[in-house]
Amino acid sequence: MSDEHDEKLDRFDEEYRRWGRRPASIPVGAATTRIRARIVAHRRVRRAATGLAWAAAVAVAVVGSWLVDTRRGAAPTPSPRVGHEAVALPDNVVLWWLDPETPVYFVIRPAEPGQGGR
Amino acid sequence: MHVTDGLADDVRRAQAGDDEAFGRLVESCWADLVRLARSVVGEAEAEDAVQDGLIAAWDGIRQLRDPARLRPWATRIVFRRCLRRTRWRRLRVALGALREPASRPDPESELSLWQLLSGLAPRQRAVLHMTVVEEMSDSEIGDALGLAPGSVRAHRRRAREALARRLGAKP
Repeated sequence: MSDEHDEKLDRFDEEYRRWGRRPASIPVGAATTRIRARIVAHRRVRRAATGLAWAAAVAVAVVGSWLVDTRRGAAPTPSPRVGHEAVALPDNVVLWWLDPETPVYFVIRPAEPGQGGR
Repeated sequence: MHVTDGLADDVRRAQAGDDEAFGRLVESCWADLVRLARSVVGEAEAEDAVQDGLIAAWDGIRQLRDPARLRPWATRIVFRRCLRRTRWRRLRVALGALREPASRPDPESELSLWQLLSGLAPRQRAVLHMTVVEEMSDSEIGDALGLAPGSVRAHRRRAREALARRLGAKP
């Protein structure tokens, strides 16, 4: 790089230092007041946003649970087990319904003498 | 640029929600931050960019673990705001919504500082500002801008080369 270029860069640095070190046009006290006022406003907005977010979450939860309840109410009822239920079962038989079509019978056999226990 | 014990106390108070303490922190770094922002985004937007940055700093001050790092931490936040503003400005210029302000030559100088600076990339401007105006070391600059010292040197070299070309092209 030539001496002329170096000289120009040095002059640029000098000018830049002078330009860059000028004080801010807003005095620091006024700037601080403005920033604090903006913080207060910002805090209000944030609180309002948080409140809105909570309200929205509650609304979604309420509407969601209402929709679930409504769908449950509208769902087809399982086929009646009339006939099966009408049958009287012995005392040692337990009936479980896996689904409306699938009964499972558990038969409890009485303990035989000499088996189990101490 | 060190943080005194008083400022460290103010950082802790601000972290606990004390607005007055935060105000004192603003007072301590306002001038430096405005000078940096002026070099990166220009005179017209500098103070708004610093205000935006300081609001963001207030919002995130609880994340500052070491009060002694207040200055580089705040500088980095403001610098990011400045970068965001330069991107928005480029976008608005590209969309034709904004006309680039015509740079007026400094009446006291043959050099039009902003005309020369605006030809550099924002990071180059920030590095040049911290080198020439603030006379900071490469590690201090890297710490404040989130750059490795080698990257600081590369940005400064490119800035110098671009300036030399522009200055050499002047009649």
